[in-house]
Amino acid sequence: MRLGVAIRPSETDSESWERFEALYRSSRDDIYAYVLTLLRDRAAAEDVTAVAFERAYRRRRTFDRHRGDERGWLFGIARNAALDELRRRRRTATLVVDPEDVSDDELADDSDEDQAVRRAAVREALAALAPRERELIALKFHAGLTNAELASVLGVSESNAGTMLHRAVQKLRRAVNAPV
Amino acid sequence: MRPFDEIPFEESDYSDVALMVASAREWPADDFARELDARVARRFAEEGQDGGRRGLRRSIRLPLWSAGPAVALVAGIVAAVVVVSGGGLGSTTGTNPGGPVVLTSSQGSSNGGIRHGVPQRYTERTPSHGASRMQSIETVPSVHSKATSGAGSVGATGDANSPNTLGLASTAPVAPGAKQIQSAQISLTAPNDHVDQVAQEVFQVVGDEHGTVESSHITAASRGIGGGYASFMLSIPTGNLQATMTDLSRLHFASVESRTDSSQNVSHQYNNDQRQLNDARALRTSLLKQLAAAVTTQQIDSIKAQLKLAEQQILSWQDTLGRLQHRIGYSNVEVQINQNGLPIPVYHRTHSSTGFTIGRALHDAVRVLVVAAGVALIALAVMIPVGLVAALLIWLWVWLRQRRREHALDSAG
Repeated sequence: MRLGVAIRPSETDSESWERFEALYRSSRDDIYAYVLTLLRDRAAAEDVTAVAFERAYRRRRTFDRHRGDERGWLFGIARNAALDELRRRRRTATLVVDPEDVSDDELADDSDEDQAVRRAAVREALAALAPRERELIALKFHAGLTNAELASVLGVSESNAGTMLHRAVQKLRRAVNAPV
Repeated sequence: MRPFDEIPFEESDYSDVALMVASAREWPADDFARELDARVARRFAEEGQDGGRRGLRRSIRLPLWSAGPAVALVAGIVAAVVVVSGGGLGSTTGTNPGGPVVLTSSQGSSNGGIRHGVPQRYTERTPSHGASRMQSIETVPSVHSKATSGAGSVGATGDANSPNTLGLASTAPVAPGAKQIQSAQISLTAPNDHVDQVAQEVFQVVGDEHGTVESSHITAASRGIGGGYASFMLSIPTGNLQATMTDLSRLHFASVESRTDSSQNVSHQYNNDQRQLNDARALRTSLLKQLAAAVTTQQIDSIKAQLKLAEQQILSWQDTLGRLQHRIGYSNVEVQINQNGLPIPVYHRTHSSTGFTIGRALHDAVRVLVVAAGVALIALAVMIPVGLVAALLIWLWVWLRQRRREHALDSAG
């Protein structure tokens, strides 16, 4: 899943495009899952995912590999786009419907009932987490970022990111294992 | 333990959570994935071609590093304008840095004086013989034709478009034998680089008509820069006045902008002065006869005293009459060339002012370097505070935006 390449400023158009395309193919689903975790709205997540990749494409020459990995850079762009969407929702709060329950539409199609129940429990536990904790879980397990990359995206120290992640994981475990 | 002390753990400690989260992971819909793949394949081309507001914003967006040179360019232009228009670099008095080469020559007579530097307008200096008999000479650059005012005086003003241009300025009819003081003013325009030639032509006309140059002031300038200017005060025999004005109207490199002919009837004044002189002479003749007939010392002394007074009066009236006759016999002519041109600072040179010399080239080079350094200094003085303020504002804007984003995440619930 990880792509160990970086877009260099001195690259030609063709080279930078190839690297961006590789980054897109390796990160599209992860970006979507991460954004959906933040927004809890499929339509908004699709829009924000597209916006994030477009922004990344426009800014691909500004990427500085000395400041971090390209996946961290891409998830930073996606995070800002998602937060902008949250801000926009706050400004138009009266027009926005409640967050979509993304688990309902798949529950009926699941053949394995136990597995479906388990998935629903996890989603419910994730929804119960605070937004920042939910974001940490998504960045860690959907995007596969290291603690250093987490710190870079969130703008905190690496140790701080590790601590916050540990607490979020503990909270998620307790929520999933808690008796219903 | 402090809240953010690092808690050691291994990535593998989260394997169970990773499995849990993976099982609950959402995947993008196939339609969306295909659509996004297509957009990426087109390199988001449609967004750049829609010609809408976003496209416009993108087309005018400049990289941050390009703002510096742009600001510097604007500041440099502003500084250059300031320097050029106001001499902002403190040019030395009496020099004309970077400006035209200017020749200045002045000559004057008893009433004109030598004039240096910026040319000055001549003012009428003719003494009058009474407040009610003032002579007036007016310069009218417009197309109006105007008669001068003043008791006993007549005049006419013409311009290049009038039929009086070529020495035909009309004056009021004068009775034969009447005594008149005549004067004229002519305003010419000439190209800057021909002012000197026009001045030489004026001198030639004066010589041909047996006149004299009372005073002159000539400021020549290079082509196209402006500031070429000359003025003359001439004394011309009245009999040659019209011929002189005609010649001045036909100079090769000049055209007539306006012309004023004035005349003042001084017959009454002349006759009065003549009568007074005759009376004084008659008185002296009478006193001489009385002196010849006097017998006592007292009579002789008294008559001699009266005789002395009479002779003084005769001398006074002779002087007055002589001056009046000179004014009648010689007319004042004022010539202005490019009188509306702006005077320019004078650049005094001790050697030839035309042609290329190493000294002039070095001087110009030094001036260019000084001006360029000044412009750069002013540009820096403008750019540094502007840049600092702009950087502070940008940093503040980024910080506020990120803070609002984080706040949006916290309140997402």
